[in-house]
Amino acid sequence: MEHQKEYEHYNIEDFITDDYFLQWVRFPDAATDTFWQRWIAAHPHKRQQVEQARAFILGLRFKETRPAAAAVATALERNLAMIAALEKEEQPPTIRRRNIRKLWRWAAAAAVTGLVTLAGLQFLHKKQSRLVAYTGFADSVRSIRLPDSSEVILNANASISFHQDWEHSGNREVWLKGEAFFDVKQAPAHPFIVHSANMDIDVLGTSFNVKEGAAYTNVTLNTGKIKVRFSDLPEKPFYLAPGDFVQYSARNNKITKKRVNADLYAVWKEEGRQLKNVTLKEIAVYIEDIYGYHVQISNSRLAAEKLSGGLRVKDEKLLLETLAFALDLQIDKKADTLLIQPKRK
Amino acid sequence: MNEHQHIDLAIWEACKEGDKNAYAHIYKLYYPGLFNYGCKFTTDAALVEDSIQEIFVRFWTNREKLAAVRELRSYLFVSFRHYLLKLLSQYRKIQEDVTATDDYAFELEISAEQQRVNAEEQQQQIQLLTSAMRRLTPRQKEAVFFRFYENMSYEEIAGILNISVKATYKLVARAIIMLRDAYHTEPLMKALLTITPLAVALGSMQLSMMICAQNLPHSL
Repeated sequence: MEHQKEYEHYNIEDFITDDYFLQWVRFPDAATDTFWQRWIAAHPHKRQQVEQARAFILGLRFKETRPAAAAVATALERNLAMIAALEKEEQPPTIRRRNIRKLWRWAAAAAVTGLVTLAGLQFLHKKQSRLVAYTGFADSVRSIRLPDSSEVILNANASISFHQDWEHSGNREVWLKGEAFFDVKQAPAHPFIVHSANMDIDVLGTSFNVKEGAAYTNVTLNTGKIKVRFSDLPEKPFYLAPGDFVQYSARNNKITKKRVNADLYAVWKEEGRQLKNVTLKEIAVYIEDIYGYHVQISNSRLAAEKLSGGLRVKDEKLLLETLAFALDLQIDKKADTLLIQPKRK
Repeated sequence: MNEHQHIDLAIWEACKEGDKNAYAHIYKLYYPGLFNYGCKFTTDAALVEDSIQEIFVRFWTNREKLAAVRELRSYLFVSFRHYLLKLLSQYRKIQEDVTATDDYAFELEISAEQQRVNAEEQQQQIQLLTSAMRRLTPRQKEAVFFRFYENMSYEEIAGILNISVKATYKLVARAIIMLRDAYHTEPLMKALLTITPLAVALGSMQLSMMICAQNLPHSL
């Protein structure tokens, strides 16, 4: 193996400066952990040095001044404006030329057909506006800025499409596959509509999460107000308030509505996002909705236990392991039921 | 916490081709780290932000000339460091180029948060480590910061500080000896050893995925 260096001759400083050692201490994975656990077992007299090196690295924590997400967003807005100004300055002639060319094309079309009705023109125009599609990345989230500067964050493998120049058609319409978080700019004159396989969502300036899937589609509202119209139940539109969760099951054509911790449902969009005071009960509901288990918590005191910190919810196994570790729980799986109870000592 | 900050090849390609969404993604990924780094040179947050804005505009203008995605983080840190130090030296009306000397400030402070060892011992440890840290040169502090906070390779650090890889390695090694000399690891060791079973229980779990329960030590 590549890492069989002469570690037995290493002193504490050598361990601290070693790449593979640092990697294990900071980002342990199965490979590094197996290697180092075995190495320590084979070299018991080095154990203390390894522990000291490890303690030193873990003790080196520095004060941070990391800006909040909102501050980064503001800075980005300013930066994009700087770039836009720069690009405008650089190429006014090309833009003008392009416009003139477009005008000529219209003029030519009018001349050839002789008589073009206004409706016809509009039809032609609509046909010309291209549908653009964005697909999320395979293993990370991707944020998309829409023409009205609304923001969409696509989860892995999700995709969204919309007409390129939607300013001309009064509506802002997008088509969604998979899961996405929307932060929509307010513009009452231009309705914002999200189309998905089983439902359409009418939006007022707001932020919410949609998880579209073959069996279920979930919508969780974080702020503002939305109206959900189901394709198969058009007579039953739902109005959502912040914290509302609506699930549509395609299989039995059933709609479930309840109150949830909406932050939790959108937590996938930011790596390392910190949650504050989420109760185990709320997480249990989340696990039921996302992973399809029935979750039982052995007592109500435990259900009210609170967690804060960075929580990765994408991976079921990891989520359960983390929970079990953080709250000292025993989690048993029986068929599709998860039983959560305090760990027996 | 900061993690491995490497961007997707697809994002990089999209950005190169002029996709502003991909650009925004890169911006949001690196902005917090650059800001945090910049605040070690100066307390003037506006100056730090202006410098970041400037180097990102340059990045966008020059993106097609950039060689590979692997170099992106280094590129951003190098140009940011250069730009900010130049601005700072202009403000201080110093004529010579400070990037070539050690004549700049780099405040790397030990955080007292999250280290939940016995409060008294912890206080003492942090004080010792803090005073040891003050004795390091700015360049040593920067190297320690890049190595143990940004988790960069020696090659990457060498590129940013514009010195050889060998010199970087020495810089870090010497800083570690100075830091370790100054603070007696004994008391801290004892406390950390008691939580070793937790660390082992964590096993293959990534530290960054950890969640901290409020009634548990936050020290891991």
